[in-house]
Amino acid sequence: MAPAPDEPEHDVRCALHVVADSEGELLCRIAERDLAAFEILYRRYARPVYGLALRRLRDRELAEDATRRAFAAIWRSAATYVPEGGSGAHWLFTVAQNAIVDHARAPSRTPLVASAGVPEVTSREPGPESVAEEGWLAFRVHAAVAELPEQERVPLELAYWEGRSRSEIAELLGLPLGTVTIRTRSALAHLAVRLEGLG
Amino acid sequence: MIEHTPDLDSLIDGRLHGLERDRFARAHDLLVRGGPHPELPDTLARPHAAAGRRPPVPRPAR
Repeated sequence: MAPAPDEPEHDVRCALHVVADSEGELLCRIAERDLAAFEILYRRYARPVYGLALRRLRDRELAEDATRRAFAAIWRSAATYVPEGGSGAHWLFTVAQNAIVDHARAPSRTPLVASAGVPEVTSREPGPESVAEEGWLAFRVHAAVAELPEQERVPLELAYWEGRSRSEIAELLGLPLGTVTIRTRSALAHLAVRLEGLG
Repeated sequence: MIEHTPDLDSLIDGRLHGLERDRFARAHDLLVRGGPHPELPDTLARPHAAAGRRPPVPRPAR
C-alpha cells in the first residue's frame, strides 16, 4: 500500500529520486497538496490527456468529462506515485488512461460514436497493444510540444497540424521567413532531446 | 495520421546533413506519428474551470 502523503518516507523517496520540475517532482509536490504544482502539471498535460480521451472516446463532450475525471484522479492519487517505479510521465499516462476507460464504461455514458474532426487512431483495426503504444507516443509527443516556448510551438503547430507552408506561416505570424525557419529548427531540436528513446 | 504531412526539408530549409539532419528527421517522424494536438476547449482552459463545481483541489486544512 502506498504511504500517506504526510509520511516522511514519501518525502525522502521523492527528494532522492526526482529532478526539479520534472513530472515526478510535481507529483511529489501534489501529494503534499501543492496547488501551484498541480497547475503546472495541468498546463503541461491538459492537452495530451484531452487528446488521449478524444482518441479513445471520439466525442468532444465525453472527452472533456473524461479529462476532468483524469485530473481529479491525478490529484487524488498522486501520493501513490513511487519514483523508483518509473517515470512520472508514465504514471500520469496510466492514471489518465484508466480514468478515461472508467469514464467510457460508466453506465450513464451514451454509446460511443465517431465525431467530425476528431482524429482517428489509424485507418485499420489495431489490437489493444498497438492502440496503447500509439496512445503513449501521442501523449508524450503532445506533452513535449506543450512544453515548447510559444514562439516555437505556434509555427510547428501551423506546419504540422494545419498544413501551412513556411511562407504562409511567415505571413500569418508577420515574421521574416528566416525567423520561421530558425524557430522551426529550434522546436525540432528541443523535441528530439525531450523525446529521446521514444518509439 | 496527419492529412497534410509537411516536407521536412522544406520546413528546415534543407541545408542540413548527417547526424543533425537525422535528429530533425526523428522529431519530424514522431510529430507525424503523434497526430494532431487538439486545442483545449474553453471549459478545460484552467484547472478550476476544468474541475467545475467540484474542484479536485480542496482547501488546506486549518
